[in-house]
Amino acid sequence: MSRIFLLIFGLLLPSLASSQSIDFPPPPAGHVLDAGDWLGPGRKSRLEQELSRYRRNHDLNVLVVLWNRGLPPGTTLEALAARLGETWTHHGLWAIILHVPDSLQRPVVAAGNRASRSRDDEAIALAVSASVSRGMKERSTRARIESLALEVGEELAFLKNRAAHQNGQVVSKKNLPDPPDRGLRLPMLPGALIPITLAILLIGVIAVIYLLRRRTTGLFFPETHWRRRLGAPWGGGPRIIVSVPPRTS
Amino acid sequence: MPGSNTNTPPKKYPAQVFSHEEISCPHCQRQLEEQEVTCPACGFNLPKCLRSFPFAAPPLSLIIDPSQFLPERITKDLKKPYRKLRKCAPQVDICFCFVRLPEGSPLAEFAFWLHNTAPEADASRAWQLLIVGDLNSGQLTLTSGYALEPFLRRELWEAALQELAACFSDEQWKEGLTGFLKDTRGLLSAAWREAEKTSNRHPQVTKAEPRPGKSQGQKAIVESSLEPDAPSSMAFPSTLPQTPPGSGQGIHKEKEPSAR
Repeated sequence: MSRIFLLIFGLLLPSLASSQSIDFPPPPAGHVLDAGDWLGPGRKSRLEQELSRYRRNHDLNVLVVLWNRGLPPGTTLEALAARLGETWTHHGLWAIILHVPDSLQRPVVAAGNRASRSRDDEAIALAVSASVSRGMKERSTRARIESLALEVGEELAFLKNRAAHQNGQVVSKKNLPDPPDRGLRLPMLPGALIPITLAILLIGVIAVIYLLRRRTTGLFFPETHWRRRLGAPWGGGPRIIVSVPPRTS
Repeated sequence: MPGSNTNTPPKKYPAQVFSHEEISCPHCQRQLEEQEVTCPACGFNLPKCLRSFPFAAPPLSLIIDPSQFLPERITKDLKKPYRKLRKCAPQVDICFCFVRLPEGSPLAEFAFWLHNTAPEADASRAWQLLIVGDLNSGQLTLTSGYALEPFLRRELWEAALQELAACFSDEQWKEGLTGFLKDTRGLLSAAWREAEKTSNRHPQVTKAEPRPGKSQGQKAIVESSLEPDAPSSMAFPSTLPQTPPGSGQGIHKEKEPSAR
């Protein structure tokens, strides 16, 4: 009997050891866990705003985690991200963007679906792959993290909408994204401007053709009564004489 | 030219409509009245001028350079700007002539003689611009035919000619000549615009006289003004014969001319 207990204990030991070695902090109140304020207040607030929109409109949990607690040996960032996702989220689609600030490791993205209890969903994997390829184009690490979070949010929202559409359901409470705050939009040209523009172009073309024709036909002076003199049939002689200036050496 | 080939002669304006510049004698520069056959001040006229240049005038062409002082390829270089000028103002032709006149031989009289006696003359000669340069005296002169004369404003053309002279001073032959052709185009265009405005304001007056074209009448005037024994077979020399000292104006032939 004691051998069985020892055997069971031995089997459970690695998982016990791994779970006990990672000191999971509590999940963030919002969507960004950045205890050291590495991202910066501006970026953090933008992320909070956008990621909360994903939650509100699409019921998506996208979290950004800046991990400063160290990694136990043998644990990869991808595994940690996956465990964070499973631990902190309780329903629906989720994604974790995990990075160790000021480390040489690249940020990682993990995503899953609590509803399907399967993280191997091919569509999710493709969505993550697409968002990573776009997000990693940013120059700085901080920008990459922000971009990864937004890209994966968009991908998962699209995934969810497509699935709902295929199931014939209403996509989301708010289908359209919030309009970006880019200031005034240019109004579409009113219909009357098109014929006016065409008329101006036509006038311009006619004017060009007229000028070209005038140029090609040449200028003709009117005829006058000649002021003949001195018995000369064609001309009365020079009117202008100038001297060639001396050459300055 | 509009109307030139029809039986109905074109309507004409008095020259004074377009120009108020005075006409003068090439010999003494005194002001002349229209239709004066001889200068009342000095007695100068074309027949008298013919005695000064007792050789055949060459036909007018874009470049007349018997002494070959311009570079060989100058005619080629001027082809394009010349074509542009002819296209711009088809009535007007232009000729540059460079000679070495003997000392005391007035450039103005030579230009007057050349313009009126060069062969193959027809009505287009009255629209000709002739620029003659005397390489010995270092002078340039501009002569125009009767038809073009009212449309030329002296000060503007004088400025263009001075530009040409300045280029010649620097031996920039091509730049000078192409620049002058370009200036001519601009000046003629401006003159035409002014003439259009003036002719619209002014009513057309008088019926036209038949213009001299290749009419026998005009040719007869030229022929009759020639000395009977003028040596028409003599070629246009690159350097004109020296005038003997004290003989006054003009150039004498090598043999004494018979009295008329």
